[in-house]
Amino acid sequence: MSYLVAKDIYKSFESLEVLKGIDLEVDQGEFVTLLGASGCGKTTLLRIIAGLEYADKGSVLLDGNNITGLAPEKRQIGMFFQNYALFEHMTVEENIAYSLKLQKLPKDEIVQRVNDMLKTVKLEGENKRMPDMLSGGQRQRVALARSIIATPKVLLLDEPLGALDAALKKRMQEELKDLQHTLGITFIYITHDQDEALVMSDRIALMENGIIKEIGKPNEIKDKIRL
Amino acid sequence: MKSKTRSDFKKVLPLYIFTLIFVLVPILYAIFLSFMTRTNTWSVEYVFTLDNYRELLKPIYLSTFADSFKLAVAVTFVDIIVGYPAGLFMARLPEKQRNFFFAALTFPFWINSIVRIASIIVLLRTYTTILYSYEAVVITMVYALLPFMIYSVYSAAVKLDNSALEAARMLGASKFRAFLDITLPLTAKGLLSGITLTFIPSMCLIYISDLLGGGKFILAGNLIENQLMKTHNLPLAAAISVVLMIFTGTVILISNRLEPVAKRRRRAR
Repeated sequence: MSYLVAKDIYKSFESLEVLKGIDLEVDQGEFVTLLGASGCGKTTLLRIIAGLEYADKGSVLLDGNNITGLAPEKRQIGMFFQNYALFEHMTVEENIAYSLKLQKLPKDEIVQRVNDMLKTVKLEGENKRMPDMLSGGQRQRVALARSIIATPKVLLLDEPLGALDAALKKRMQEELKDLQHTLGITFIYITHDQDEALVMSDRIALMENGIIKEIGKPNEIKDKIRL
Repeated sequence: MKSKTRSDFKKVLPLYIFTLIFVLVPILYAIFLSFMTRTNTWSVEYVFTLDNYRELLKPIYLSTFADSFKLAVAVTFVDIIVGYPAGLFMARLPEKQRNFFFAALTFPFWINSIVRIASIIVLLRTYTTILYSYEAVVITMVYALLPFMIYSVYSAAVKLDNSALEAARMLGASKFRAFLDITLPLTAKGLLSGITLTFIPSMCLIYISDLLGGGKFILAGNLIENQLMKTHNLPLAAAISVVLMIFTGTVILISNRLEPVAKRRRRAR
């Protein structure tokens, strides 16, 4: 069985049916992109996998366990928010260390891991800065560092590069891809940018009107995207 | 640069003059009066004395200040317990419902406060036995000041980014832990201003303690009223006002200091 399975997911908000029977299977270490126009239900699917919303029908399985009704903090799933969702009252260091502190790890281990992580995302020496003093790109790196330091089983990314200019976007695409390779974390990635999806993904799930219309490797699905 | 600041100064000059005439002068006059002597003919003789402040050290005044302080603490405490969750709750509502709650909170202000107090008297007399008791005074003050607490908390909570709370959950925080780590520090400022806005008036809302306490409970504000209206001791009334002002100033100072301290402590950790 696949590492992450979303089975027969239905979800409505009041009378609006957003997800109409989603089936998605993702292997461990895989980079899967949900590609679709806004309103197609991709963010809702992501939030159901995260535990921030609950499906009306269907189940979510991770690593063989049924996590359908589990609270988000118990799922070992990470999330990268579109607006980064940094803790504005905490320093860069405190933001990144947050999950480790909750795990009550020894202090020197936390310091060590935070400093290593800062190096990984190229933010060395920015430990004590407050988020509102950082540039957009830097804020994004803090959010990324914060979400991967806890080594989640799956990382969900909701349009992580949406707010960047073209040049920076290109560079971040490569960096993200490299990072995913080195860490071996399973990525589920949301975008509405076709080129981005084609460049980065192992597989692409094409979403439309609350269903997955097509799913496959970039070269298999390429022609179906460009209708 | 210099000319710019000068024209800026010109723009705010009326404000300075207004503040000077209507705020600073009366305060300075009250301070001045508090050091003057009262004559037998109910007027003021301009001879320096510390007698007014000496008078305030008498047990009757000290105990009144202490009681007034205790009442203010009680009222503020209840307002926090009720108003803090209410403000948070309101900030999370969809806009339509939020507007409804706002209207519900604002509506009582359309009615004269004495009328509102009178209706509470009727309510308490009809349905309870606590009229003219300490509880009645506390309940009514809590009611009168609650909107200020709710507004203050709301205005801080509405700026709160819900995704920050969700991010905390995704990083392993329980609902309660996320509240402690994210919601509480980010709404502390609103809570503190709410405390200031309820604590200070509750030392001086004398019509409430008079009408609902049946004249049994004397607030710091009552002392001033008595000196003005009954014994016509203007200098003593001024001295009480000055003490209250110092007290109020201290509360504001402490609550202003508290917020950056909380922030700095978080940073140092």
